[in-house]
Amino acid sequence: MTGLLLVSHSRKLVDGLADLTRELSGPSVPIATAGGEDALGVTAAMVAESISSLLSQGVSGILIFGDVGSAFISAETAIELAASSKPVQIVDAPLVEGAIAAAMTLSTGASMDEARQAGEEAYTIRKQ
Amino acid sequence: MTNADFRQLWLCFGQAAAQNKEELNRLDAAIGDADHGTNMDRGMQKVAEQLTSSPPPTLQAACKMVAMTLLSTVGGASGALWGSGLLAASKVFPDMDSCDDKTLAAALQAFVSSIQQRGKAVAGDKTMLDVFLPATAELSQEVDHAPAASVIPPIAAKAKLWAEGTAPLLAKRGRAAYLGPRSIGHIDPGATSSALWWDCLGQVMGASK
Repeated sequence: MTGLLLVSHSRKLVDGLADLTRELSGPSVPIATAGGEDALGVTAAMVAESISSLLSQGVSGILIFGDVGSAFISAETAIELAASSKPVQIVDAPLVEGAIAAAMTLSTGASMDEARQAGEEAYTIRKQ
Repeated sequence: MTNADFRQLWLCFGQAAAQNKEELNRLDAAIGDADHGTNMDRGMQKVAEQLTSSPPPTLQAACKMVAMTLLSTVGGASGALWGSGLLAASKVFPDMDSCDDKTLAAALQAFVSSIQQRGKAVAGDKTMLDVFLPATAELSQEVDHAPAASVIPPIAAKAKLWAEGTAPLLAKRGRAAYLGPRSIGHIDPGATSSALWWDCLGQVMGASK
């Protein structure tokens, strides 16, 4: 199963999003979070640690969703640090809608690519 | 450059980060979130502590240690960019006590290329690269004709001017980019801390003659 990694400068933001995503997708999709540990902010080491933790749970790949700016630079650096043999990809998607769309897609037994695409397509779903 | 020079460079930068913490925060307050000085200072104090308590035996090991320390202690783009750059540089530095001038120039080039790749910024985007790009370009050119000990100090002397030259630029990357034209008129804090680093490199290499 592909796992999701939610990266934010704010701990409250990703904790809340992880709760919401689990509620909507069910318990089958592994979800980890990174960022905002002592104060607002993300380091590459925080993201690398969460990648390792998901890999140690036996996921077959990881899709990363981030909030703004340096979350993505930190995530890219963390992917390099983790040097995983399993695919670890950053998804260009809105954090909340993208994570939910990908998790729900994965919960139906879909592939990593399908989940990634669902995350990216979340940009096109208008609210009004 | 010797391992001792490398250590001295980071101890110097640690002092500079501490002395300029408030100034860097003030510059960052104008176009970012006012923590660049606090972040860099926290990282550098940790680096200084590690270099003093358990000095790595080779240039490569020392560079890698600084990289890993910054990746875990400096949040935001600065930590990831300095960290990735130094990781790339550590692969160029030999696993020995010293390196020749061309290797030093190549390591700095690897540092800059890695930061360009990760941050996707180019010259004139109002970032740390507005100091590092001209400085490493001059170094790579001149190190063929003269020793780094005499080439680096005059380059380092220009770094502050390059940092100040970011003031009229429009920010294209990072948080300051959200401000668009309102970023114009402010000196980039990342370029300013980069100039402090070059000042230290100039001092250390100048003294190594």
